[in-house]
Amino acid sequence: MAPKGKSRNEDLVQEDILQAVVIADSFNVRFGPITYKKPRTLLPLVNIPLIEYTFEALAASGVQEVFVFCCHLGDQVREHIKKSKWMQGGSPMTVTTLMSDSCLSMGDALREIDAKSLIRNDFILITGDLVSNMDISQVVKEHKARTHGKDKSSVMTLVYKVALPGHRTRSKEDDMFLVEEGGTGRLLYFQKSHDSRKIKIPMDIMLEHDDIISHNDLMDCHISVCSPVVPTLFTDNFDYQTRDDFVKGILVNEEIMGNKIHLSIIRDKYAARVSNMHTYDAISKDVITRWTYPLVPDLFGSNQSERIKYGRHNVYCSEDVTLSRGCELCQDVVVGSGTEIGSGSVVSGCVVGRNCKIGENVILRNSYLWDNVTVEDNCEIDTALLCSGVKVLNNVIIKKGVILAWEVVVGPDVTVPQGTQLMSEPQSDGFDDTESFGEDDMTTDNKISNGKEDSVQDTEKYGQRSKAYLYKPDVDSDNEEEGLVVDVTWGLSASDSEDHLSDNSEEDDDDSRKEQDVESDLEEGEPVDLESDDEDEDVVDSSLGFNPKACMMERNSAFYQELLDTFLRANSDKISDDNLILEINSLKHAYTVPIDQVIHSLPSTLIEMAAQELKIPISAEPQLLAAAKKNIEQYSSLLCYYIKNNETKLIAINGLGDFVIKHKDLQPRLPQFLNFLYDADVLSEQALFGWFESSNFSPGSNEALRHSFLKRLAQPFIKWLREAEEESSDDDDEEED
Amino acid sequence: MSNPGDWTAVIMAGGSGSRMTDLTNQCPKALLPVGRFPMIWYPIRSLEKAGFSDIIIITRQSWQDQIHSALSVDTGSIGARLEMVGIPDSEDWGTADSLRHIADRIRTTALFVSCDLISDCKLSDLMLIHRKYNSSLTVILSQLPSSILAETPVPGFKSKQKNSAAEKISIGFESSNMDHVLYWKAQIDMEDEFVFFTRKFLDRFPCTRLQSTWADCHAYLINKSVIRYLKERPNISSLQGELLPLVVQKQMSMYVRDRPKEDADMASPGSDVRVGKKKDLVDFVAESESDLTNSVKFLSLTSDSFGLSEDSPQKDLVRCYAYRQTSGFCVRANTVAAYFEACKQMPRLIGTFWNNKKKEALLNVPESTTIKPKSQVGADCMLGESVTIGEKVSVKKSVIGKHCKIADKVRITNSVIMDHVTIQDSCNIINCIIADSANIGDKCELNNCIIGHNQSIPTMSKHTNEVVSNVSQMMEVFLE
Repeated sequence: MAPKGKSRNEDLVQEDILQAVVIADSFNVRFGPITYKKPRTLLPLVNIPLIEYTFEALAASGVQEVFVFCCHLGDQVREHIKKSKWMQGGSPMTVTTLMSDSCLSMGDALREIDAKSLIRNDFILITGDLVSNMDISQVVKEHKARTHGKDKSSVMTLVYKVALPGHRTRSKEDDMFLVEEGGTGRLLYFQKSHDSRKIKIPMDIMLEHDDIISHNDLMDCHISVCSPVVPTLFTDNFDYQTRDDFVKGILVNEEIMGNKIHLSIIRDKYAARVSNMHTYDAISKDVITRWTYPLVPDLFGSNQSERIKYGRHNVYCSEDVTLSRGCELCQDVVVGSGTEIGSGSVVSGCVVGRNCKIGENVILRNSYLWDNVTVEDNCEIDTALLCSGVKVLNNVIIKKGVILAWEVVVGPDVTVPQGTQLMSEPQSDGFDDTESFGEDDMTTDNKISNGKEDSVQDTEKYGQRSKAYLYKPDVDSDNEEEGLVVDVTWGLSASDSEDHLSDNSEEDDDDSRKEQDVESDLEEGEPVDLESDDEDEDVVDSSLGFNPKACMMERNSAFYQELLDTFLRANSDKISDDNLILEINSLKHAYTVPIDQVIHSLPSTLIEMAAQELKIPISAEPQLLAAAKKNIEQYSSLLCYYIKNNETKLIAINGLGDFVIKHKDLQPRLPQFLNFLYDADVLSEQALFGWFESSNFSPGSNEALRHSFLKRLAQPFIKWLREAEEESSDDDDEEED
Repeated sequence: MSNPGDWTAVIMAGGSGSRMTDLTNQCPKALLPVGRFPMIWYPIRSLEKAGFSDIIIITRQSWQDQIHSALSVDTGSIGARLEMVGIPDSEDWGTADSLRHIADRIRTTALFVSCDLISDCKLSDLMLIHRKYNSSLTVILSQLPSSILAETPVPGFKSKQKNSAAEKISIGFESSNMDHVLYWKAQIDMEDEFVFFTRKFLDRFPCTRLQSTWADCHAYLINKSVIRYLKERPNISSLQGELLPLVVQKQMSMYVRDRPKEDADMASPGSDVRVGKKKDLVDFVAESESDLTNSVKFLSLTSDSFGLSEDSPQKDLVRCYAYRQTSGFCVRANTVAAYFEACKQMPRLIGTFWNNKKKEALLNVPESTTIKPKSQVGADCMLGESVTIGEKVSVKKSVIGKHCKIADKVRITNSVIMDHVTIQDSCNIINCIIADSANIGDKCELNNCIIGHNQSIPTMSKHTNEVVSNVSQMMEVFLE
């Protein structure tokens, strides 16, 4: 580039350059074992690294200068960019890589960008895992028109895409509820909405604005057009970690700072972010079914070395693919170059990478096979992700939601259970330190917990010649929790993860049928054990399967007693909830118990407290139930303080479950206790259903047995809840005399 | 009956006009003159134009004769058969109570209009919307005429002038179909810190537009099923305040075929929600459809709302829609300000209420009027019959009733003068309402005033922002 005249000309030139900042790190561990070796932005989506989609979208929007901000495994990103076409002559944009190992969040990245004062103009802020065919420059124009026109205080324009609830590309994690000012597109209110039964809008918004639009029909595209002041705002407010923090901060401080945020809603273009396995799956399908045109395999994926043909039923094949006689590519299939597929194999809804070897009579359904994967004969793989270099030996069945990370070997002759995540090396501390950046509390938990975890290679489970270690994203908390995360993110069809909406998932989905099979197996096979176990004294250890003690969260009994006393005292002294919370927190520190245990203990404490108040032993007396109900209602806000998200709700349910397992009398009363918590708005339908449906146990394990036992106890309540859900909303305000 | 679709038209004329007592202490609200006709004449004409020929008028028993005679005297243009239904004076009945009173006479759908609805909108459009969506309840909404609410000074006390701003209603419409009403809440009821939406609501109606710029015109089309429901709930007394928000909300309730029996296990506290529950609105609506229609809907795979996997037409039994009037004139003359505005608009609008357009020119200044030379009567004025106007009189933007005598050099601007009023020489009247048979002395200066029925204003008086009325009203003046 020729150096331009320095003085006055410079302003003019700068005015023209459209800049973009790409954050090439997600700062979370949604991809579990996969991002251990490769940063998320380089994961192949339909055989092309994600970041290429992002660059293509930027180039198509006329962006001239791109800053790529890398943290985790940033070297790989830099290497990739160096070799890519964007660094060669003729590239429409200049790409600059910024490396930082110290950044823990998007906020840090922007603060660093501010420190380097790279931004001179309105810029596009996106993540490196975006797939889009929209023209972002239109949004930039809108934004400029606003900032130069009447709304000078607009600092950010967020891009959202219309996607009705239940849309498959909509990520559960990203579900949010927005309020927009009618006519101006100004954002008035923002709330992450997943797992809340009710959405509340502050009354002021209704009173101050005559025309507002409430949106539950939007999907966050994670594209934002920012004014140059945005990095400075991040610097000024060092507590902003994510863009959500920023948006919330701007909205809250609107009156003081006078900054505004606007929305841009797209309807007919495509833009979505690969933020977890669920969206990876959905977006891959969207690419194959050409929603992202022109970013489709035959156009975007073809280059000098590889030419991809587009055939009927969305079957894409490279030219040098070897298809044996009798193998069948049904529909929505992409096969990379150099891949061989053996005879009798059936492939549908799959992406197969380069140089893969698929044996004979293999069934591949809705799965993703990256490069150099070997699948030997007679395997069956359904809805799984196999990273590069994975070997699946003969006669292996891989169930839904399985992730096999780099170079894992499984088999022969095994079944990999649903939702398993395997990696080829034992999980190590180092991995976690680099990977989990502590974006949210869940990942922070990981960091602490993973250290203790000793992963053992289980050749029995995963086959004689296997090289596989179980990856546990969340070992400290109960299994249900993990199960929920996996289930919600991936592995089940849309209708399943929308369980709280539909009640028909029981029969017609083969997945839940399997689940039921497992359940009924258990019930048929070991009912005697279960019963005998329960009929014994509650302390008894059973050597058979279901061992109430072993799977319960270890309780610090001293802490528990102290907690109970605290509640009793609080009740008699009328201590306010706020002070009680302080006391509980200090107890937690005094006994050094994790927060999970506090939550685990809370519901049962309230029940025991009822018993102590009435001076009766814990039994199923109606008066005890009534007192427990009263206590739960009284402390509902306190419970809500601790039990606020899905994970904590599950812990609470399990805590209650453990309690009733211990007190045999109360076992039939579990539904009522759940109902009390539900009525007090502590538990949501979604959490209850989520708990009820969670299935991520190794069959036969203590947890699985306990869960199915509790499930049976809770069955009437869940059933009632499903039916009552339809009624619930109008019951609230039913006008009875 | 020759009403369209065997529908029943009902005019609610029982209101006392409690928000404009300065004017209504002498005469029922329904009979306050607006232009040349009593207020109730206008909704009758609107209904006639929509094709109704049988109209029920609900009013207080003591007013029946008064209204009857008022309507039979000078309004030969009404062709519809009017039937008076009296409600007891002693009871303070709300609109819903009155509706229950005549519920049995409604066969299919009832169109309720308040007697103070003065609008040039077509009721037939409202009816079209109702039919199009097979709605349970349909309302007319009009864009709040901001001119009335804000700028024009209103006759009477300043303190009384902060009027209907507080009556704003937040109304939610489905974004993709703005006729569909999803949310209804008067802002005056919004005391909590937050407004709640259930997830179920948000999943069914993901995008809702909430606007508070609409005014409810108190014209409702109500289905028989809703009326049957209303009959069973005697505690609902107001249509707008109670029934309407309820129906809007009940759209979310789902019709449960063959309600399942309670689980024996679940007979615990908290689970008895449904035990002994009354028949809900949705049950009434479902009943009103034939079994066959129900079965068809139940089995049908199609749905109005696209994209929601579990959504079935089953849920759309209760429906509430609105006809949103964006142009034209629509006012509920239930406050002094609105009444005043309606009167002043009448010279322009009267034509829309007549069948025959030719008469329009004659109407504003009838032949029986006597106007002496050098007087000016603006084209935006309306004079009643037998009005006498003296020399050098200037009348602008005003409405003058029958048999008024206006002496020389009087200037009347922006005012409403009712029947039989005498105004002596050289008065200057700006922005006033002067009620029947008032007598204004020489050289009075009246500004933003309301002069009550039969009042005499002495010579040379000056009044600004006052209400001159009978004794009890004067007390009020004094206190304030």
